[in-house]
Formats: sequence, structure tokens, C-alpha cells
Amino acid sequence: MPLYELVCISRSTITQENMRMLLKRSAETVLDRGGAVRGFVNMGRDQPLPYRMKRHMEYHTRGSFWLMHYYSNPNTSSVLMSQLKLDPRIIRCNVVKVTDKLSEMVSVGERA
Amino acid sequence: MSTTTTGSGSNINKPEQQQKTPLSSTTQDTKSQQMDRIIAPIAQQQQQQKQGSDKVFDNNSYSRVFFPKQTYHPSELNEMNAQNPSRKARESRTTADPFVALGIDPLKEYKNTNVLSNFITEMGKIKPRYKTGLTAKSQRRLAQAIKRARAFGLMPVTSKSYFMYNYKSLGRGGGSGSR
Repeated sequence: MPLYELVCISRSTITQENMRMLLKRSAETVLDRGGAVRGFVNMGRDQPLPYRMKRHMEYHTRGSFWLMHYYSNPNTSSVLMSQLKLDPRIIRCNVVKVTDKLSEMVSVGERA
Repeated sequence: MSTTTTGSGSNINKPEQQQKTPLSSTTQDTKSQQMDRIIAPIAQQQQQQKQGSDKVFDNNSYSRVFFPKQTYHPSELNEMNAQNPSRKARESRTTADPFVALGIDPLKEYKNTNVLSNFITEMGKIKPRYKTGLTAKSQRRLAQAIKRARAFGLMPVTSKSYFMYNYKSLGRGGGSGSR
């Protein structure tokens, strides 16, 4: 199963509890479809965005950046994306495939 | 003041006498002869210098070409800068590509906006290859990484970010400064 990376920008005005639920829900989406979640990385809570973004009928200038690394089949990625895009707590989300090869998966550290 | 003997005393007078004679107009020499006497030793010196030294600073050896809008300081007009800078200095840039030298794929560094910011202008435009000095492959991958970072909302489009990224958690309400 290939290793994917979800780069997500979520709203900065949500509470800590709400954020936790959001992360949990995105992880559950992967796990329910036979995937495995490797981990989350926090890239900054409540950061100014590089440019103003419009999502869900709102303009945003600040956001929280986080990553999720997970292994899954390709279908799960598209399902996850479509689910997250409907969520009003999320400003922007993109999935990148990190690698297919086992040797590379092992060498990729937590930071990447 | 030591007392001098008559022998040394007479020597003191002689140089003074020798100095006086060329400048004096009361001698029996003609003007041309006087001029020769002045010029001859100097001309001899110059000839000796020419024959002696290999580096002659005359019009033939100064081949440096000055281009428009080029500035120079008078101290640069010497034998060292007599020739244009050789091309050999420019050609030895084989491993100037940092991605090749470190074995890094630029596309994997799309989240590293600090690194990517080195290759964009102040306006946020991607620098061309002759400015970045990268190989074609690296330049392609780098451009793709920059475009990806812009699309994902990690890097600004019309400016350059100077924010220091810390991958470990910045904690609650982290980060100051502009992105």
C-alpha cells in the first residue's frame, strides 16, 4: 500500500477539542477502509496564511497547518478528500503520494 | 662635528661642483649639449628597465575591453587587470547545484518554503535557470515544488516569505512574523 501525505489547513478559530475530533475523524476514515495511519505532524497552530483564501462562503486569513501520513488503497484517498472538503472546519486539503516502494517508506522520517 | 683631513675635505667640494655645471648658463656648452647631459642618464635608465623586465606596461599589452555601464576604480588600471577575466573561472561550476550535491529531490521539499524561497525573486517569481544555476532536471522539479507549495497554501504567490518554519510542534498559538 502506498504512503500518502495529507496536507491540511484548518480554521484557526476552532477549539482544541474540536480540532482533536477533526483529526480523529480523518484518521477513522482511513482506518475504516483498511488503511493504517502513520502519524500526524503539527506545522503550526493559528498561523497567518500566505494569501487570503475563500472557503465555505468565508474569507480566511489565519489557519492551522497539519499533516497526516497514512497507508491506504488509492480509493480511500479520494473518499477522504471528498469528505474533508465538505467539512466547514477545513480551509484547504490536498493529498500527495509520498512513495510506492517499501525501501523508501522505511527511510522517510517523521518530519517528511 | 669631527675634524676632517684635507683629502676628504676636497671631496666634499667636488660633488657640488659637478651639480652646478649642467644648470649653469655661464659654461661654454651649447644648449643642446646641456639638454643631452640631463636626458642621457634618464634615457639610459628607461632602456635598462625595458630590457630588464618582462612585464612592460605599454599600449600593446593592455587588452582589457570596457563595456558600457561598467564601472572601475583607478586602482584597477594595473598589469593584473590588463586582460579580460578568463572564461576558465566561469566554466568550473559542475557541482554548484545544491540538490545534486546533497542528493535531494527538490519535489520532496515542497513543504520547505524556506529552501524554496532561495529560488524565487522578491516578487515571488521563479528564477530562471541561468540565475539559479541548477541542472535542467532540478530546475523542473524545483519549479513543480514551488507551484505545489503555492497551490497547497504553504507559500505566497506574489511575495517572498521569510518565516522560520519549525516542524516540531510550535505549540498553541505559535508563530510570529509574516509567512
